[in-house]
Amino acid sequence: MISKGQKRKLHDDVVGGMRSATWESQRQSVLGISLDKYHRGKALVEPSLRRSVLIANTLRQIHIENKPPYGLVNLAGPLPPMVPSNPCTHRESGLGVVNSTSGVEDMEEVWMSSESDFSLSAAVSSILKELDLTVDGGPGPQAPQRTPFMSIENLPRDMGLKQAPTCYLQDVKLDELFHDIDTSVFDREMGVRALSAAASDELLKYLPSLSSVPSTSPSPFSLNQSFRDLNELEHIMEILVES
Amino acid sequence: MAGVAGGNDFQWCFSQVKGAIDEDVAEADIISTVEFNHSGELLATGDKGGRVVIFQHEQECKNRPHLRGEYNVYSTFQSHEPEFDYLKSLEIEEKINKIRWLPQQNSAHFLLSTNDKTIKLWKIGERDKRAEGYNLKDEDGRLRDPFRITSLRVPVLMPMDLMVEASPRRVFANAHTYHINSISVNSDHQTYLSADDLRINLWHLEITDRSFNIVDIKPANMEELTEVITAAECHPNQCNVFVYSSSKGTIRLCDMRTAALCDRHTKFFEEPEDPSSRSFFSEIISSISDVKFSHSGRYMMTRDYLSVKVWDLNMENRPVETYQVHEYLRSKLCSLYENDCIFDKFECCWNGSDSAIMTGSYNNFFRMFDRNTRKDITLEASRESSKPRATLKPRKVSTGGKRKKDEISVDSLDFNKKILHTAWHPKENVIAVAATNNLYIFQDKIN
Repeated sequence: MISKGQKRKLHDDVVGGMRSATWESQRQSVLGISLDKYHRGKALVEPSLRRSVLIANTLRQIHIENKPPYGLVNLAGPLPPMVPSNPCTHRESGLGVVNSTSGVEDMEEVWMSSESDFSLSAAVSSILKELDLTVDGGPGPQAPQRTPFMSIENLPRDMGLKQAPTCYLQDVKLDELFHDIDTSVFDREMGVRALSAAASDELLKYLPSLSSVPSTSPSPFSLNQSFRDLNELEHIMEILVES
Repeated sequence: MAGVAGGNDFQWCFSQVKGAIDEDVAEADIISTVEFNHSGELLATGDKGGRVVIFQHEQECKNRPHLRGEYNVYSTFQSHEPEFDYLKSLEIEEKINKIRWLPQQNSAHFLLSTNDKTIKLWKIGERDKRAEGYNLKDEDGRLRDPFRITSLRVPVLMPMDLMVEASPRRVFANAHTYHINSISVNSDHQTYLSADDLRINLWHLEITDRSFNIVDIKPANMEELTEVITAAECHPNQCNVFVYSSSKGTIRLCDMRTAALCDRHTKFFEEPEDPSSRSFFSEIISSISDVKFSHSGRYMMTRDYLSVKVWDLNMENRPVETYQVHEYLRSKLCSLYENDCIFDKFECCWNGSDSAIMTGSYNNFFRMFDRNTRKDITLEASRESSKPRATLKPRKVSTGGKRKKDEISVDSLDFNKKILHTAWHPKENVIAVAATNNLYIFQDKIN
């Protein structure tokens, strides 16, 4: 049970440490980057299994650290509309100790967590299952070949399976996945339903490079990829706001 | 005793650089592997275009004995070609992932080169004589009319200009569904192993149509896959022992005598995670990109994203030495994740006596650590410091607020200039460093 009376703790900016950005915005940023990476990874010559597995594990970890603390089971009533939450919601960085004071947000998080439980793990599963289809060409369990390898023509017939659709993640699961992003932070800045070009500049602020070393010169870590993230995020937010 | 990493008596200096100087780097020219042979006489490089270039160490000049000989091109050949896998509609890259030399047993040299799917055994031989005076054909090769032959003669061997020929002797194909990341020749000189993301196969050098699968970590359900094999190596003197590393930062040592299938390890090496430095990227940066046994066989070294660790094979619960390569990148991990640099696979290598280790970094920097003196040094492979026998100046990355003169700040580092592949001569202080499409050779200063 989340203790409502507990004092909020502001993080100190520690130069050189990960704690200089809020954990939540970092989590969202990493989530967005990870999904984008997976998406674009399919354009490569052949997806690197190591890279895909590491990205999938990162997504899993984001999901795990989003879970409410053990013991919180109360699913109270229908989901209230997305209200601007108290902007000073912080979490201890590290493993998922939630430290929020807003009761509405508690319910939101509980609802979103249990919903996203299924959708995020489903997305991760689909990433890996599709890897199986793409890389191995076979559906699922296959007896490992211990006998001497013969030429590829002799492998089982069902290797001729059609390729999975390339835009796999752009069906319903992706939208469900983004349900658990706390867009209230964005709403606060931009107004509730304005999704103009100016708003995307605002959005940029929430996709920082998370560098704690201040640099006046243009950072070599370009945010060009974030612009594509932005288009995707915009699209998703449109869906969320309309629903 | 001076150490190789910046002792007072020891200095590294520039020897040679190979490769084009153009700013525009052709993708095919990017060096993807570097390896000295067992004597150090030959140095092989593989590139993304599937070519292998072998350099040979010239004998020292008798006139100028203070100069060590140079490495000059000995042989160049196309090892692998791009292929297309029609079943999966995917290209198979011709990039040479690894080259490993076989120990020399006669006058010819043999090496194994591999791309993602196929391993090839190449013989590099010299020809400096040719036969003249054949009976059945002319000097230019045309067949003689048999009725014109009236006498018999014995062909004579005549000297000719030295010709170095590379010919493929074996092709080991169709054994890997996933991308091959490692090959390693066994100390029995008869077998070798090849590892991809999920499986390790054992081959006999003479037999190409079958291999034996000795490790398989593919889960029955691919959705449960959370870990892949990242590197594997045979023990240098125990032919039954090999190790493989994983994307989760673990190393498993296996003994082939215990079972035909080595899915169960004999030893399991893992360092417990430091909870205070945990982040979203903890697993990715713990992924081991290279594992190398020491020449003695008593230690092994692993490279993960930020550090190099030396393990005693008798102690599984933690490494005996840890060296930070570029700890200043720890605060930049999110950006490095975004631009994919966090997935770069750096290699590492030992010197001949196992007293020092070397690995690469960004901005064309590479690092050397002396295990005895505990000193370390950062050097740069750049055209600016490429004057003959010019001493390399140590470099430093400034991490604090104030940047001293000659230091470079973290934000100014060029992350496109990465040194992933380095090699150390097995006997001498000569190192080869691959910087994108250039190969730098450095050696110690001979006084």
